[in-house]
Amino acid sequence: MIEDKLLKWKFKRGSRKALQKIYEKYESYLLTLATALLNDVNTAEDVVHDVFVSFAQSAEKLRLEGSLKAYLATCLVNRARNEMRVRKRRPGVMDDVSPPSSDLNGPEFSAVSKEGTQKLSLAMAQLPYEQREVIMLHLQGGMMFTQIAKLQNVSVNTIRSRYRYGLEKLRSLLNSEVIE
Amino acid sequence: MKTRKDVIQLVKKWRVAPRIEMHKRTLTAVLKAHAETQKTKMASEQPNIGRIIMKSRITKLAVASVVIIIGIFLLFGNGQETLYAQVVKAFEQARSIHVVINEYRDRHWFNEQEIWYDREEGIHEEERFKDKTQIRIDNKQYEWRYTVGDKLVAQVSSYRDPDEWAKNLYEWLRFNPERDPSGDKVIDGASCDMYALSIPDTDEKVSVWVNEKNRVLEFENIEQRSGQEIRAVATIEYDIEIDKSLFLPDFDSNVEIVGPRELIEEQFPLDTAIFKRENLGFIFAVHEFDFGSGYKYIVCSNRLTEKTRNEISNGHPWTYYGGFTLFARYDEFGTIEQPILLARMKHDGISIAWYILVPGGSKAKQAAGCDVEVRVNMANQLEEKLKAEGLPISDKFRLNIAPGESKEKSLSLREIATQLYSLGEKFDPIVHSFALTKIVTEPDGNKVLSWKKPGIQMSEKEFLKDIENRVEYYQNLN
Repeated sequence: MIEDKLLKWKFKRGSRKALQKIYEKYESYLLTLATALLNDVNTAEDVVHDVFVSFAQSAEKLRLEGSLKAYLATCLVNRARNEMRVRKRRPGVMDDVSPPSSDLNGPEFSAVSKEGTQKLSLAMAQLPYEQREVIMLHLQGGMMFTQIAKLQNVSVNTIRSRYRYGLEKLRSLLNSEVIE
Repeated sequence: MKTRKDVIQLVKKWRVAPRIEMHKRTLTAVLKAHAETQKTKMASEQPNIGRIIMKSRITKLAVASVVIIIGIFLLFGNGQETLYAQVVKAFEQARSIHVVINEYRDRHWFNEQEIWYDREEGIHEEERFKDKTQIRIDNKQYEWRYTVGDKLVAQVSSYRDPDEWAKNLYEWLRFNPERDPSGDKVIDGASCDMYALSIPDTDEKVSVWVNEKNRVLEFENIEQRSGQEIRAVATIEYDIEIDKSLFLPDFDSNVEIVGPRELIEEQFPLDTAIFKRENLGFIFAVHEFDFGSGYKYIVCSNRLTEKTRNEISNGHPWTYYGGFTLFARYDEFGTIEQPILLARMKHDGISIAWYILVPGGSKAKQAAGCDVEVRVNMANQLEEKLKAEGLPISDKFRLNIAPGESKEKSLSLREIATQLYSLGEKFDPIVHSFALTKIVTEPDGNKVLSWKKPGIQMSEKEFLKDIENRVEYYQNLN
């Protein structure tokens, strides 16, 4: 992670190039995380956009110690939670599942659909939000259960259970052939 | 069957690639926010620098030009969109265009597509697949779709503006291609400037040649497909004389002109359905449920209710309002029934899917009838409507059909494959999309579900073989 330290240092000194590099390095990771948490690519794009814009404005406040990836993931999780809260405030919304549309939806569908990832995204959408967050932060973000427990403000055992149950449900869902 | 380890690997490897527009839009916003922060910082820390710079006339001009450039940047998104705007403007001056798309693969050139566009008459489009040619004609009043030699022709009211559609040819120019003088060449006596574009995270490259009148005369697209380099070249001619008969519905007398939606409704009527459930603007139905040896065959549909259709449908065949999936139900003994998707048809708010249900493993229980979970997810206009009404945007229920409720026909896998294949040949290209499924292995070894056009991308024999393999896989799974 020396590269990240260097990037942070340069970014704090006002380097535009470093910022661009950070953006390019973590854009796809954050977009994946946001898509998994929010089940909606468009909202995920907006959240990633907001996270990076506010990151760009925060060079002053950014601390050099700690993982840049975890810092960005935490910013994103906080924004995603806000987004989920807004959704929940809408009356009557019981199951806000809106998976990305399939390849067959376009005017001319492509011959091969990346079924694996599409299925994963759709299966992820069926998990409770807290389980999704633990799975994604642990497996994609490489965060430890203790770090996630701090972020979710619950015990490590709760995080372990969420991870276990979430993974089991995900496995069941993925063993279905196609999810739409 | 995926193990826990497989799922962990799948999640770890999952990546959502940003769309080019999103990438550019966010990067522009991020850099702008950064620049503004830096400017504020500079202004607060070193208030004199700005004043010193502004004293110099030359520097003032330089600052002004930067402001103009930023203005242009903001107005058009980037400088290259000006090229797009110019090209579209040049296209708008043209009376007609003729596009020929050839593709080079397997050491041969193939004529893939040909399009004739006449500003007054409309569009005539021919797409060629091996020995089949599919035609679409839009005379601004109706659209007709058919396969040459077939007995059915689909007719729907014209639902897209041919002028707008033709402009889509130039969409690539929106993605900031760079000027590359090394590729400049003369096409039909006109010297053309080359612009090149590489698509991030892919091997795809696009080159465009534009003449001095801002007319695009050639596109070249190079991409890797199944480890092979595929080169497609589109040539465009402008203001040529086009035979008007190309835009007329001049069909043989034995050809039947049909409405695609009516045809689907007729083939999959709700009044004879075995099961129906109306919820949230959709009607889910089961039309057929038959038994085979160790498996079951089920045909399901969902469609907009008439009320919802009247409220939200725009009549575009491709508009997607949502879809459904059958899922296996699980208990402590494992999968009860594993649905295998065989084919799917979609058209203007109707979706039909054909499944085979097999026990999910050699030790799994099998229900006497049908016992699966159905999830219906709404999209686009229907999703918006439900959200606005504060209603859920998905529906989930257990589909439990007792054996006695079905006709209990016994179908072999061969009969299923034949029936589905001939349906596919009948409906493609009449409906918006009809696709058979096939499991294919990609160059990286991943097995993915691939969608195939019947009669064009997959033979009936291949389809049957694939179904047999998939059924066998689940039947022998430990």
